[in-house]
Amino acid sequence: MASPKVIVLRTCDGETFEVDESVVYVSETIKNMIEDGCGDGVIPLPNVSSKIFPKVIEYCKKHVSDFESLKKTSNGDEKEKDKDDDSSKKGKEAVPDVEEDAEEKARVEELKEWETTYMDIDQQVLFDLLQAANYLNIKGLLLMAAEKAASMIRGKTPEQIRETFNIKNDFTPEEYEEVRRENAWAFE
Amino acid sequence: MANAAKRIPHNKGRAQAREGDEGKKLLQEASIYGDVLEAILNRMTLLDMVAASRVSKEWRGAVSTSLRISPRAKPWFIVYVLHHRNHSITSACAFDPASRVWLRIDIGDLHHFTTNAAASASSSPALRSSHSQHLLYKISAGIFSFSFDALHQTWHQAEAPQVWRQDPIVARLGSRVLVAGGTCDFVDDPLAVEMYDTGSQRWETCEPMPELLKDSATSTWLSTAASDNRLYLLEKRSRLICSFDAETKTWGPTLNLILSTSAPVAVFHSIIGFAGDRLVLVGLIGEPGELQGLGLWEVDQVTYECRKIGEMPSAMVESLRNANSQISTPSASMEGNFIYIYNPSNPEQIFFCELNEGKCQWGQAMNPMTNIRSRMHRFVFTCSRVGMGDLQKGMATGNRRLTVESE
Repeated sequence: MASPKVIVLRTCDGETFEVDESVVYVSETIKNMIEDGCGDGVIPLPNVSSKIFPKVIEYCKKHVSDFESLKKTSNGDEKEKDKDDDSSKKGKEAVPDVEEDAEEKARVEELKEWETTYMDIDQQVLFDLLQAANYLNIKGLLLMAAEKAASMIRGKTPEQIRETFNIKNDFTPEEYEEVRRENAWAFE
Repeated sequence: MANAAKRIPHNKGRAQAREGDEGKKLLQEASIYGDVLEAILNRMTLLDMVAASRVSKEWRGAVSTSLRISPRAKPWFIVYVLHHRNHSITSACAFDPASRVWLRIDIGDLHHFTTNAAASASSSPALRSSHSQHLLYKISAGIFSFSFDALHQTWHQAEAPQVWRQDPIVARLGSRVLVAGGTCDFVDDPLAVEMYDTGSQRWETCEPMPELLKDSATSTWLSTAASDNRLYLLEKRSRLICSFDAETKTWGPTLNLILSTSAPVAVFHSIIGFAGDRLVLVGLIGEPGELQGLGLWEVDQVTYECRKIGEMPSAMVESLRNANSQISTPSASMEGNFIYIYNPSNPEQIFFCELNEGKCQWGQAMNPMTNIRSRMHRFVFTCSRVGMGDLQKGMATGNRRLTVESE
């Protein structure tokens, strides 16, 4: 089977996209739907907009598993991006250690650079990305976006966080007084 | 509104159809909650979480959940800075290895830490650390006061032990505090041991220390490692070791620890401590004043066999050597998976090792607090796992205010 299967997906605002199966497989949600037999028709994505979908696909393309190839290079790049993942390296073939290390290092470097560029986005795009990554269950993307969002929270006071994320303060006046009194944080 | 739709379902094709612009607006306002909020909070350290917990009720709940699922358990390294002569506390700071920041701690209840300058010279009233189970203590005229919670906010007062001592070994074993050895001209038995039970609030005399330790029975010469049930004492130079069982209140045999070093240099000074359940030995390699290396060994608590688990990178050893003078020897403090190594006279530069599933991850950090550099100071060190409860208590009472120190 030479040509990869193409999957058709429709975002919440009615646009359709055609994407290689191996690429969309990076999304656990879509993968499950295909395995449940929805792969032949149009797959609906009611929680994803056409604005953010290309951005998500860009991530998937970078992290695709190569099903058809029997190449030596490790597959499942997204596993390496999981900072909290305990799984040891996938069984590598017998390649001299020095070569392997240099190759590995270069790849990790390149990936880091790619990520920095990829994550150079504004706040609204970040929020959309978080939503999409969560709904589509793309663990590596969610981790990366969550880290970026966490970096936006660090060092901020509660009021500043509320402004950033447009959150309503729903503490009662008594609770809020307590909060104000304890909120003696000074971040320089 | 926040409570209504908490979770975005994942893995299911169920629709939560939002149409057009209004849908987009809803999406924007409600964008950070449920799984997404959880994913973000999981990236944050304890300190970050304090502000986050005060954003809204939902965020407060999400912070609790996040901390319950993954408690931020990396121990902080805490330094209390005291004035050399009058024993007043100048300042305190802590290093959080998770976020790699230094924090200044403003202490409200200073009297626990400071000593009345009028106290008599023989009463050894200054604040000290036991280097085991993050115990701080003071022995003043007739009173033995101590604290062992993470930020030392709760202080216990007890009568002083019966036998008077200078520079004794003091260690916490669970809810008991042991005082052993120490020198004093008037004491018949320099190896006397007493144990205080915080439950019954009573002292009990225990079996004296082993005879072999007679000439070195002070905290200057002996390093202490204590768990809830066991105490180990190691002679820092000779590596003579013995153990004490808190249940039977008896001492085990005294033995010499054998460390094999690959290089033709030897370990000249050792410190022990508990890193979690493991008895770990920090061995300084080389000669006094001429540090060449630092190794970590795990000591088997049954056989006393020593197994090497790590070695400090040579570039770091160089920094450590430069941070210490000819006179001072590096000291170590450990808790959980962390071993902190520092110069006890000058904690400007600290070094640490995280034991991660058998692998050692080394790091170092520079303390930005400038007043630390003064020569008028004496330092007391501990290392403990600080939790949200500790921080919140500190803020509620006003006794512990933490500020991030800028570079």
